[in-house]
Amino acid sequence: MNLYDDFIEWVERNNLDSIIPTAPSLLDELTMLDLSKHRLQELPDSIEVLSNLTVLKIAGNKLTKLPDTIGKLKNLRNIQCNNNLLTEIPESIGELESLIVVNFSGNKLSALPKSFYNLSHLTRLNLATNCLKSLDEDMKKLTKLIYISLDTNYLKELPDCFGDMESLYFLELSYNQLTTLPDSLSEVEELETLILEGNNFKNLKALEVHDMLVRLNLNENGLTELDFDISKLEDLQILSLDSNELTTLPDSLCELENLKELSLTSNELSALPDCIGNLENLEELDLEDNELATLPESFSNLKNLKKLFIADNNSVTVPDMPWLEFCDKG
Amino acid sequence: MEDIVTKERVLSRRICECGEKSVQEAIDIFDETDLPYKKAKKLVTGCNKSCCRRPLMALFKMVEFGAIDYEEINFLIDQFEGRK
Repeated sequence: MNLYDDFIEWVERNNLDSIIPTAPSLLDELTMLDLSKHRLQELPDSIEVLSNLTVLKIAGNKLTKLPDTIGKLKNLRNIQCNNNLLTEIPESIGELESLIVVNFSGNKLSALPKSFYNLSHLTRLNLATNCLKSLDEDMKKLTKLIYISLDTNYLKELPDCFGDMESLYFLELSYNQLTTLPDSLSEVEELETLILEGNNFKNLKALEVHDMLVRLNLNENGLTELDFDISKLEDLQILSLDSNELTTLPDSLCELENLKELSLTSNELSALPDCIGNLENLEELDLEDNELATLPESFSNLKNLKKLFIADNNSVTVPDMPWLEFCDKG
Repeated sequence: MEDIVTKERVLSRRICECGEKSVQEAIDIFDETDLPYKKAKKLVTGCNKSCCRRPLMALFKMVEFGAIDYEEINFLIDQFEGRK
């Protein structure tokens, strides 16, 4: 049986003939294929007949492996393989030199093949919710990455790989076991979003260089203090520090004049900085589940505040702020 | 028939050990609130932790969108349970 016949038989066996043409000439022309959520347990080796495929969506199936022949889809630019049951990626993936977007989130990957780091054109990489314990030093070869999501893995440290990722703007590292950021991250000047939730980060002074950060999330890191000068993050608009052990906040927080959202749920704050009213662009403030008994006099200077969450504190009284659109305390 | 069985089975599954709510109960809670995810989630789990994040957040978005993919929720609960 030739490759086309084999592939067409697989299409028919899986009742996919309403999605995939069964004429060889049309298979040659196929550039996009969406097989998401079809309960597929395997892809055939003969998938290599789709030689012009640029986008392959196979998310939400029951795939436990990919065929080695996937490496022959030389025109593939985007593979969406999230929410499957993959335990490994074939070494041949490194032959997909055109790949730009890769999503393998929600699988069971414990490691990446060495060849993965040859995908030098990658711009978006999503490996969230896998079982990765480490990444190779060769990660530094992926210099075109602009978006990296590695959340919910078992990473204890990251390789010092960011130095040449000049365009990286989004880095999600939540729910790992990380304690420090690699030094090379300081060289990424364009970084706008940094999500570090659910780790055990300490000594965050390295963050001070990221003056283009727009969003920073340090929820659930066991922080007892902000051990860096947060005022250096002068473009910051969204700051989330939920579920830490903060008892006070530094006055330097009040210098974040672009801050629009500040979230401090479930800390141990008994007071806010007297200068809190300087945050004149603040639109949303979440103080729920702290130990506040009073608010500073300047609080009523928050003229742009639209949403205030302040339940579960110590009988704190909210000043009259008629411009508030929502407050969870009447 | 298989889909109906799957739906009923998924609806009765516990979505998170925090709060002990079923998928059906979580759907009802999300349906009745206009709070953002972080606060609506607390109504289900009773805690401020980010527990059961993937299945809960997916369910919240599906309720918001108006269509629930029970198979995906089932997968995400399995995935979460498998990581413990």
